[in-house]
Order: sequence, then C-alpha cells, then structure tokens
Amino acid sequence: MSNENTEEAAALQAQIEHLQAEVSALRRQQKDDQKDVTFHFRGQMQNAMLSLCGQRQGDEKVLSMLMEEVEELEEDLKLQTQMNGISLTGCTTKTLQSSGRKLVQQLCVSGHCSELLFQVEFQLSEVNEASGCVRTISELNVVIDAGEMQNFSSFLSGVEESRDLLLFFRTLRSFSDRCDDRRRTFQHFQEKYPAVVSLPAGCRSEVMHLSHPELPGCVLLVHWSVHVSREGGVSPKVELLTKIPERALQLFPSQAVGGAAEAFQSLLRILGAEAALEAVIMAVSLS
Amino acid sequence: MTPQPPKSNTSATTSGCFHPKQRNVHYSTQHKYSQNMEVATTKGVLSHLSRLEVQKRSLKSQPQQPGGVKALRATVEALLTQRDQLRAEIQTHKNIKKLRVSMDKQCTNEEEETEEGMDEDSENSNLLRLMARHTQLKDLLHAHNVVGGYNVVKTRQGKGVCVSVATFYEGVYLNTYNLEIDVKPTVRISRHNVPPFIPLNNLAEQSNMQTDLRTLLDPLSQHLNAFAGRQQQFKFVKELHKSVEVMESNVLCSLLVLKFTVPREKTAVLCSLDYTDCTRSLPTRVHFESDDEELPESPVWKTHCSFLMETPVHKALITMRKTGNIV
Repeated sequence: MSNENTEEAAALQAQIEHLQAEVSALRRQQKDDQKDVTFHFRGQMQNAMLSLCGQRQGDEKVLSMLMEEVEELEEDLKLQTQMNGISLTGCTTKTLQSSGRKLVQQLCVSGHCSELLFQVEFQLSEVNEASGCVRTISELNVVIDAGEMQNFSSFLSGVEESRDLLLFFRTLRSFSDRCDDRRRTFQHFQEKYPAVVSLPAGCRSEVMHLSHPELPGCVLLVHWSVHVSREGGVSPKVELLTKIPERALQLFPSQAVGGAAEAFQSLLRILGAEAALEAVIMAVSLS
Repeated sequence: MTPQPPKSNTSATTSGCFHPKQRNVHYSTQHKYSQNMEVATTKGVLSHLSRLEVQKRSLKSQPQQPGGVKALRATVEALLTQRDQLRAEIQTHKNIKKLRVSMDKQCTNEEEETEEGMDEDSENSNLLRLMARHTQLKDLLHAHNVVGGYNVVKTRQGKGVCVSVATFYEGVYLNTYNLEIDVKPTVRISRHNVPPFIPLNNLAEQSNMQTDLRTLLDPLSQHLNAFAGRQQQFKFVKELHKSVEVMESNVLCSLLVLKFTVPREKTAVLCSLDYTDCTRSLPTRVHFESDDEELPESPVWKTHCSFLMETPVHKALITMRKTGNIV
C-alpha cells in the first residue's frame, strides 16, 4: 500500500461524496419540475427527452415516433373541437399542490365559440378518496368578449358564484347556436330579397331593416335578440318595430300599420320565426 | 453522507484486519499474518502486536482492497455521467417550458415568433418544438374534458363512437353518463347508461342526430345536469336540515314535499315543490298548506314562496331557518 494510492483514494472519496450530494440535489430539482403534471414525461416524450440528453442512438426513430403521436393528438383535438362546438386555443396549467392523494391546479383556458371569445380561470382539485376520485372547481372567473356583455352579465355573476363551469360552456354554445340561427336567417333573406332587406349593422347584428325601395322613409325593423337568463336559459326573442313618419300615419290611418307589432307576435306563434319574417317581407315588397 | 464503497463480490468491510472473511480471501494479508507468526516467535509478542497495530491503522485509512482505487475511479466516472445526464435533462425541461410559454403567447396574441436564442442545432430544435407542441396538445385535450366536453372516441374503425355526458353541480363533478352510438349505416344509439326516467328516445327523435350529434347531446346534457342538480339539492336537504321532514320525493326528483315547523306556534306547514320543467333545477310551482289557513297568504310566506322559486331549496332553507321563520 503506497502513500500515493492512499492520497488518491482519499481524494476520490471526497469527490464521490461531493458528486453524490450534487446528484441528490439535481434529483430533488427534477422531482420538483415533474410535479407539474404537464411536464411529467412518459412514453414517446420520455424517449425524446433521453435522446436529447444522452443516448444519441436512434435519433431519427425517436423524432418520427413522437411526430406520429403528435399527429394523433392533433386529430383528437380536431375531433373534440368539432363535437364540443367550442374551439380552445390556449390552456395553461400551474400546479399549486401535488401530494399522493391530492392535486390542485390553476387553469387558464381561452378560446372562442363561433365568434364569441372567452377566457376562464379556475382552480381544479382532484382528491383520491375511498369512493373514487372527486373533482371540484373553485374560484371561477369568467371573461367574455366585451360586445356581448350586456346579455350575459347577470348570468355570468350567477355562474361565478355557483362555480358552474360546465353550465357556462353549455349556455355559451346554446347562445352561439341561436346567434348562428339568426345570422343564417338574416343572410338568407338579404340574398333572396335584396331590394327590401338590408342589414346596416352587418349580418351578426340584432337588427334587420325592411323597407320598400319606393318608400324609403317607412321602415319595419326586425329586432331579434337572444336573451340569457340567470339560470342559463337561452331564448330568442323576435320583435317587429315600425318606423313610420308621423305624416304617413296621419295620411293613412291604418290599424294594420299601427298594430303591426302585435300582429307579428301572433304570426310568430303560428308560423315560427322564418316563415313569419318571410310573410312580413312579402307584405312589405307589396308583391 | 457516508461514502459508499463500490459493490464487489468480496464483501469488504471497514472494520479492520481481524475480520474472518477478509483473512480467508486476501492472500497477501494471510501471507503477512503467517509471516508475522514467524516473526513473533523471534522478536517477541510486543513488537508483533505493534506491527499488527500499524497494519490495522493502514487498513482503516484505506477501506477498500488494493484494487480499490480503480473501483473508486469507476464510481467517480459513473457519478459524473449521472450528474451530467441529470443536468442535461433539467436544462431540456427548462427549454421546453420556455418554448411552450412562447407558443402559448403566439396562440392567443398572434405574436411574431421569437427565437429565445437557443443554441441547439436545427434537428434538436425541431424535436424540442415538437415536444412543446405535445405538452400543449395534452393540455388542450385535458381542458376539453374539464370544461364538460363529450370526450368523443371513435370505435370499430369509424363505424361507431362513444360519448360521455358529464354532470356537475355547485362546483363538484358528479356522475358521467355514457352512450355507444352506431354511425354507420345510420346514426343510432346502441347502448347507454342513462336512467330510464330521462326521455332519451324522445330527445333522439326530436333531434337532428343523423347530421349533427350535438342536437341530441346538448338537450340530453341539459336534462341530465338539471336532474343532477335537483338530486343534489334533495340530498342536501336531507343531510343539512334534519328539522325539516321530507314527506315525499320521487326518483326523477321532480316533486318534493317538505314539512316545516313554525317555531312559536309549532304550526306545521306542508310545502310542495313541483319541478315540472325537467330542463331546470328550480321549481315551477311552490305551494304551502297549513291548518292555519291564513298563514300561506301572509306577506312573510308569500316572500318564502318567491324565494323558493328562485333559490335552490337547500340554500333557501338555510336562510329561512336563520331568520327564525321555520325551525
């Protein structure tokens, strides 16, 4: 046993201790990083990670297999988007608590439903109990496109209070569907009767103007609003308003014109929105 | 942190030279020992003992066998590799997270792509980008599920689909109901676990499910969630308000009859809640009956009536009991 051997052994021992401490610290850091469920890699992702960090073999294979998996996920996302009627463009998650039995995450989800933009933020807890996994939502915060706020304000405050994330989305979709009904109907009539029908505020607006080209001062306004109740009930409301100059009314006192609004409501009940509107348009075009 | 000697077949210990195993296996030590025995007879026991003492000390300061330095060097190499691997993994993790953040910003703000100055070669950066996109897709799919999506899964090579309808009330995810639907040749529900009192067949007939499955699923979800809401309310009434007697309720949770006790007079009031609109979880009619015929007409009870029409029953009862109107 030489002295040099002993010295080297001692030095190596010291280095070993130092390295072991480093490795432990790095392992702890990695465990911490992986607490965020999103960044806890498995399967192809784990393979890709290893390929990037050490084992350089089979690089191409790793890339193509991960590509395949990503393509599957893209297809799945398209399918969910189509079936759920909403388009999610962003989802960020932050893990607030992660123990064996409990996981608490802060999620921020943004996207759009047809033309309506939204952003929701909430806390999602998953607790493993004897009866199974219990998921709950707390601290829900909902923001939607400023233009539609009036329709939604009472509903939104109710939904935030009851933390009913799912009701928010069901109602949003319903509302969007009814708005789409309106847009299609308005567009259809504008194309079919371009002389009589105009949409001064665009096809997504609530108002359609009807007037005979030779009587520009006399306008019938169709006001089609989509109302959202506090409970989340979505109901379309179609009204007919007349904008007829005083003088015309004086010259032609007619119950038909004056009582147009009520008469229209009866028509609505009997024929439904599209048919009732068509009847009115035909009347206005005097054909 | 105690140093761990590398594992070897000869279970070396740090205890000293008189360990029987050591003596049996290591020839050189053995050899020295027999030499020592010879010496002891010639130079005396004391000097022999002092020589053994020196040996013991030198063995203690070198806890490994003479091949030990090689083993130590190997350990160091292994640990260095391990450390570098971990560092690389952690750094890659960081890079992916950074990439993900800028991808998220791009999606919502339509910002221009900014290279974060990563020195990876292009193949690596492709892989990193792909990995970041993978995490983004997983998150988006998770979000679809969390916000109450239908979790549609294609089955039987596109001949069918499986959907699930989630129910939810007051912040808690409740039961999920599943449907197996044939898509070819026509769209038809083949199996489901929707309870029989939910008018699934009616909803299917009234829907446009041949062209748009959502025209069936949205109303179904509305029915199931309204039912889940009523069911939870009835459950909370039984759990939280023991002083209120549940006289009658039904499986569809469309009817609830409660018996209130008015504190001072100890009068009983029968309260009937009708939930005839199955798409809602609030009642369509609230009716009070009492031996005291004037009571239901009193202003206080008229207020209770409208309160119960607008508030979930278990919550309304909390207020009614707090204000002392009922026990």
